[in-house]
Amino acid sequence: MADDDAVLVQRSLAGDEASMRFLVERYQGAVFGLCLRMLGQREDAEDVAQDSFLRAFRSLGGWDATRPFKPWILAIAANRCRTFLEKRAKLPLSASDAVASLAESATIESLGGVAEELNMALRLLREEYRTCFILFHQQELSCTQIGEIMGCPQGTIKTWLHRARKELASHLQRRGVAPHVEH
Amino acid sequence: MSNISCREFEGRLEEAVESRCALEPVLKAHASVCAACGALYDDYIRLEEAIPAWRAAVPAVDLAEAVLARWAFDARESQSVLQPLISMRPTASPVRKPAAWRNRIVWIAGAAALLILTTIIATPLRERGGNRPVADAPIQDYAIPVASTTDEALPSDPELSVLVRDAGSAYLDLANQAATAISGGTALLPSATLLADATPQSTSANRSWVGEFEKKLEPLSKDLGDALNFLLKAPPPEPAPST
Repeated sequence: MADDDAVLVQRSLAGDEASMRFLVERYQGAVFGLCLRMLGQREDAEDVAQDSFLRAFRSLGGWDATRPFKPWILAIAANRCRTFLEKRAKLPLSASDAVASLAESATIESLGGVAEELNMALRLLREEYRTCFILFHQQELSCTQIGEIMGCPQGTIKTWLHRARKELASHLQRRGVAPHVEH
Repeated sequence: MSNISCREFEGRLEEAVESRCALEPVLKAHASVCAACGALYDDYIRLEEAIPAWRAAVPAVDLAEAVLARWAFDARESQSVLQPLISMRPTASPVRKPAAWRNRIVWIAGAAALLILTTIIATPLRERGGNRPVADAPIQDYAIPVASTTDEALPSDPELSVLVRDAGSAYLDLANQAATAISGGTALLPSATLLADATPQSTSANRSWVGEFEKKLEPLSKDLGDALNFLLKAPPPEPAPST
């Protein structure tokens, strides 16, 4: 896959449109998934995911071919999401406020089950915790890779990950999500 | 019975999360006899049960067409902006009207020229006889004459004559710079002939701004001429204060 990526990148740098298309098709799921979980709205996520690919193409020459492509492009996407969220926070009534209000008032059934409940809870987290949780549990990156993406030590990433999990679990508990366990 | 401490339980639970491994039986055993650790264990299970459904809930998307279209659009746009500046030749762009950047350059050049001219004209007229006008090095090399209060005494002062002459030269230099700025601004624009070649329908509209711009500059040019004449013919009525 990495060799394959290197070839695609080289061809893309030479202006080969088909290779660019392959790169988008290969990583659009990961990039869009990150953007959707970070931003919470599909339209915003699509826009930012497209922006991320355009940014990546513009700086394709800066990619180190000895390293995997996925963390590199996810780092770009995470940065684009952060920029987008900063802009959105400046709006009079931010989407996160609306989400917070909705998350507290709606029932689990109306939200579409535990997955959507977790999604709502995720949007209430600090941005660093959310990014960390998404990259770990959705993108299945290691703490080391997440540290490289977020520019933080591995220890910090682990701390953020566990805090994110703790807050999410507390939210699920408050919302009546019960674990299926036997003590 | 479990034989691990609560601290160890928490550490091993976190390790299990980080390494994505299943929980060891000893952790479950400890959770069943310790209320605090049992709560942590429940949280762990609650989340682990929710994550798979959450992870699978991302809808499919196809971004390739949109990304490539935007990439092609950006490439065309960057060419349409850069090419005229490089080759001085207008480019007919399907995505952006050529008149947009041209008007922007005209207004920037005009604003710069007006600013320079206003500075040149307003300063000596407002401060006539007051502070020494701001100019480049030649003036600063001369000592400012002091304690002369009569107009009759000034022309006979050779040092002051030199000062006035050099001040006039400095103003002329500034005027030249202003003219250069205007020429520079207009040089960035494609000539009327080239415009006519590229966009036949826009010939008269594209030429008209030059005449309008000249008309706007006429009063300023007159004021500048008057100011220069005044400076070259007559010294300031009062000397500048000593610094």
